[in-house]
Amino acid sequence: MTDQPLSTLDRLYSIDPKDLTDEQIDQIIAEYRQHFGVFAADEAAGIKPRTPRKAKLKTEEAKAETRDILKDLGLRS
Amino acid sequence: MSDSPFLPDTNKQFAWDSTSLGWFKECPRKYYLSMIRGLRGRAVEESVHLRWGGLYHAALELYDRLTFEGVEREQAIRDVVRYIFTKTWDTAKGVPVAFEHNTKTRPNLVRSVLWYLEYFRDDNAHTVRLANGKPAVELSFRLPIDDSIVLCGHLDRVVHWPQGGGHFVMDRKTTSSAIGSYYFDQYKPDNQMSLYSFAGAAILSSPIKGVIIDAVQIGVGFSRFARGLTYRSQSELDEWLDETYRWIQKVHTAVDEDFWPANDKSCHHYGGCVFRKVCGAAPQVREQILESDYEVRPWNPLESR
Repeated sequence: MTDQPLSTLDRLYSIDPKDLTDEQIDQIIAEYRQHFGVFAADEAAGIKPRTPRKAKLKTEEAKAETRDILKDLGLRS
Repeated sequence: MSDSPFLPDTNKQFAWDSTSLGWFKECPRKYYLSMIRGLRGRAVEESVHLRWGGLYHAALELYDRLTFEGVEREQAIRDVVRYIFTKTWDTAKGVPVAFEHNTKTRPNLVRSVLWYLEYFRDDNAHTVRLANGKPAVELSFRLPIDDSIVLCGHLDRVVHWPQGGGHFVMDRKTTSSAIGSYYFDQYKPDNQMSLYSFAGAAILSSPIKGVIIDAVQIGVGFSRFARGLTYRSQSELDEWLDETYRWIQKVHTAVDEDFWPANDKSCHHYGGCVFRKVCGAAPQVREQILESDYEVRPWNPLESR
């Protein structure tokens, strides 16, 4: 199952790029290659990419916000 | 500062790219507002896509240049990753650049570039060496086709692709939509791809088969790639050029008459014209809407990237 990367990457993303070592860059590349391999295997097996939990939450929040606005406008009970 | 794309002291455009020609083909009023008045929407959304897309192109261009110069693949990929990280770091604040978009993010940029290089790992299309010895990568071109018309644009890359049987322009596209055969169908006929084929042949001084379109669908958790081809024969390019002369004549006639009718069959294409709300309003209030909701950011086909 594909998923949004990746806690290791989250940490590397927060480092100032001028402090990133070659080893860390290689680690980033390796993580994404692995992730690509999983995605490609899922595609070949007909498995659709899963929407990451964070994105789903954002969608739910947006829907709730829209509902509240419609209520405020009296367009929805 | 670039030169003006208009003939001196006139609104008659002599330097044409596919964007400005496309505006007039879509709708004379859209051309007038976009090109002659230089108006654009104030939407932030547009700039996110432009910035993110620009970095995606620049990163792959860097990879093409490095490997052309003989840098080994793994080292080139390292350099590209470092480039993206650096370009998307806000040095003043000491934090990553926030793109404020659900798919056009920093991690998705890194992922899309790295996955592109994995997906096309065994691609045998190689960058053409120009007569000056430089790689045919990110080429800004200006082709005078007669005394008063210059065709302009930017080619991502010109390649020799043995699998396709010859030379092609390569164009990289990003989209949020799924990429099926219908996606590639939109590129024939297509003004931009015809111009690119015409320009590629002129730059190489040899025939071009057409354009390779390497498209990527950017999802929240994935980047999905597909390659499409759009061919152009010499007779098709001859026809396109003849018609281009005629279209430009029509523009100049519209300038002489200062008459810019709206093409109301184009207003709703591609999610809607940026000026739809202007043309949908009464004529007497349109200038107020233009004043409040649009800003002047002139489009200049002569600008190099």
